[in-house]
Amino acid sequence: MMNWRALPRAGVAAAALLIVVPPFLPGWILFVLTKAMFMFIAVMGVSVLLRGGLLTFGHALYYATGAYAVGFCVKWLGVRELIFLIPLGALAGFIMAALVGVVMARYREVFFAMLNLAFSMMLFGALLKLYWVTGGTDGLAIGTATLAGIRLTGDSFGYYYFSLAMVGIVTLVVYRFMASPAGYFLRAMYDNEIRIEYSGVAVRQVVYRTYLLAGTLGGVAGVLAAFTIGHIVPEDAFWIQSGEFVFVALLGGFGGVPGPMLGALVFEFLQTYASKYFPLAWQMMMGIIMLLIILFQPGGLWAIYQRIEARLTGKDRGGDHH
Amino acid sequence: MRKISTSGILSFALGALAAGAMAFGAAAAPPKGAPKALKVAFVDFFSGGAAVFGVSGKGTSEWVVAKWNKEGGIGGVPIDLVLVDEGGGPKKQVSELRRLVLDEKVDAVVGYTSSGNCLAIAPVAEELKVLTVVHVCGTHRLTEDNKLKYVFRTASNQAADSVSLARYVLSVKPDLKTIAGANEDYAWGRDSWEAFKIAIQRLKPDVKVVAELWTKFQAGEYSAEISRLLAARPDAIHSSFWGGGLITFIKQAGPRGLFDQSLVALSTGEQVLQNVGKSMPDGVIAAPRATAGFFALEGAPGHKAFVEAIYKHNKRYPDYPAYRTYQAWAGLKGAYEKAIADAGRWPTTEEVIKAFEGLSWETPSGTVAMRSDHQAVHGGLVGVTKFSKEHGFAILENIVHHKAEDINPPLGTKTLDWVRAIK
Repeated sequence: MMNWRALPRAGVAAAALLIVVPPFLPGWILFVLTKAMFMFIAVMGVSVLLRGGLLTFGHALYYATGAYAVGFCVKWLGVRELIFLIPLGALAGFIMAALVGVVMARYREVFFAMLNLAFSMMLFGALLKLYWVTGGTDGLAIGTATLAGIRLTGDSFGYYYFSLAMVGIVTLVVYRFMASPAGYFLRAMYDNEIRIEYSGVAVRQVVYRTYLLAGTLGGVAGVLAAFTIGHIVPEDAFWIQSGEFVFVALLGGFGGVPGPMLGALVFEFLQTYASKYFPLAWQMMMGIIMLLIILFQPGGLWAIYQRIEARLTGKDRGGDHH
Repeated sequence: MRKISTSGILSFALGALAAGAMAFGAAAAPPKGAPKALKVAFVDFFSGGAAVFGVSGKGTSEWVVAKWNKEGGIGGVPIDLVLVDEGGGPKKQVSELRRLVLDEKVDAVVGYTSSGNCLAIAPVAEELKVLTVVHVCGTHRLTEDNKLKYVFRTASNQAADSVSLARYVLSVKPDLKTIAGANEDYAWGRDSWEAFKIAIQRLKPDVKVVAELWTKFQAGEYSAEISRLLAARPDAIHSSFWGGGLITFIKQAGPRGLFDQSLVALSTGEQVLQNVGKSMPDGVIAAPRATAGFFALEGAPGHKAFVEAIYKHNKRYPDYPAYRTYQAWAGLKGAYEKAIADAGRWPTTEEVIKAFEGLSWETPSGTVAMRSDHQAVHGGLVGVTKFSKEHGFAILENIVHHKAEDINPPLGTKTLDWVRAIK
């Protein structure tokens, strides 16, 4: 809970860095940062669910829903306008979550994780099978986005700052949600679900609402991803993609907003450098890092920062005679 | 007489001078403006199921780059090889390509086996203005859906595999009545079967399709499909299974007599011959995706030396990924050398592109010709399996070499339109 309150200071610093530094970075690093932005939004959905103790191995369902909503708009309508497609992706994710969530709200723990996995794999199968519509494994070409008619290539500053703006909006929405009764009950659910029921709140409602939020975020992330990469494939709905979201949530720490952001940034750079320096064993390097995090830092990278901060502020307090 | 001798001496001196100049030129400093090294990335699968292709491609790249560097590189400039894994999907590859160009500053990229990946990176390569030579990826969409300037494909597209199989099947079995297909349920399998079926029915309109089976990607378990194929009793079966999936299919279908009952045609069959050993029955039609075979050495000069060198380096005879990898590297080298000769100095990427278009170059798999749409065409062989005691596995016999124009659509014609009208 402290994590959510800890944001303002760390959040302002992080936002400032993300706004000011990119123009001074080489182009390819800007692109890695842009990838981290949509990764963050998708991981935020997974993290919100994890706050309530709900682990999903199928969040790529929403991510792919957003991505293919863009894919079909490009294919059939030739529309690449972000002002139209971001809300559309959000809506697609929301509707998908509204449907699937009816089932999901009844399940917890491993059943919740596996049912999500099942639904995402159903979408994966459909995207693969409906070859004539989806292009099968060859996927769909997306092309370049426009924002109010202005072309924004996936590696441009304009697109990066647009993604960053989306991150800002998502952060605000998640804060509002976590500060709402549903948010408080969600965290309480993590500790004891039955006690919430006894206090007169329908847990199923809490789960359903959280699920809607997570699905919507997944849809938005999918839209941003489609234009960043410029090409979408059924693997966007595959379990490995879902696993990647969970990986990043655990890597950064799912306690608040800073954890997933840190996780997304570190993940993207890790992947880039792992394949640069270990072209034949980059996947193994990622696995080893995951193992180390789980074994020695179960709270994620953000917990390391918090520990350092706590030590520093502890000393400060000592000096201030609070 | 004196006169003659003078001119004789003169011409000898001139000749010696010219020879000296040539020898000097060959060994001398690279052309003006040349970089210290030509940095080229090779991208292929070193992880996952498709690593069976990538490992062969990697070995061939390492061998060819080392060989050329010993011989003076490209126009006197050595090649600096950077290896990149193609695993991780389009998302990763698009990002990797940016890193290669903007961070590692590669001059060119060779690679891409997966169609999903080559379709995804092509627009990015165009945007980054990096010379990209696609070596294996087979989808016709690469050159037909995109207007390419910086991206070239140095191998025939997938239709060449299907059409050459269709032609061969009909030459072996002119009275063909029924066919069936067993292919993987993704773009490669769908496109392969589609082109084969249309080609067969175009060449012999009364042929009927009795079964169309779609298996999961690299399923590894085919008993239900084999049962259906045994029950359908088609005269011929087409399959574009590859790698591990194809190996298990052969091992499962062989003992059940599928190969005795029907004439089976495998579009990537040649690639697994060295893996399946004695499990491969005789009389199965197999092809090396429109390239050559290490067992068919007549024809292209230098083929025997290539096969021996690759066998020594890769501990495996060259299979189609090896041939196609060589085609890509040799095309890149040819384009650079022509551009150097044309410009009289180290060329710009745009000059290399100009030299690449319309270039023909010799490879162990024959002559490869690059067209103005950046799609290369070349001929290829098809044969039937026959166990070879000398090798310890089956090789191909009754080999037919198809000419480029018989298995590739002409310039400007869409692949499927061409298949629908082949003669």
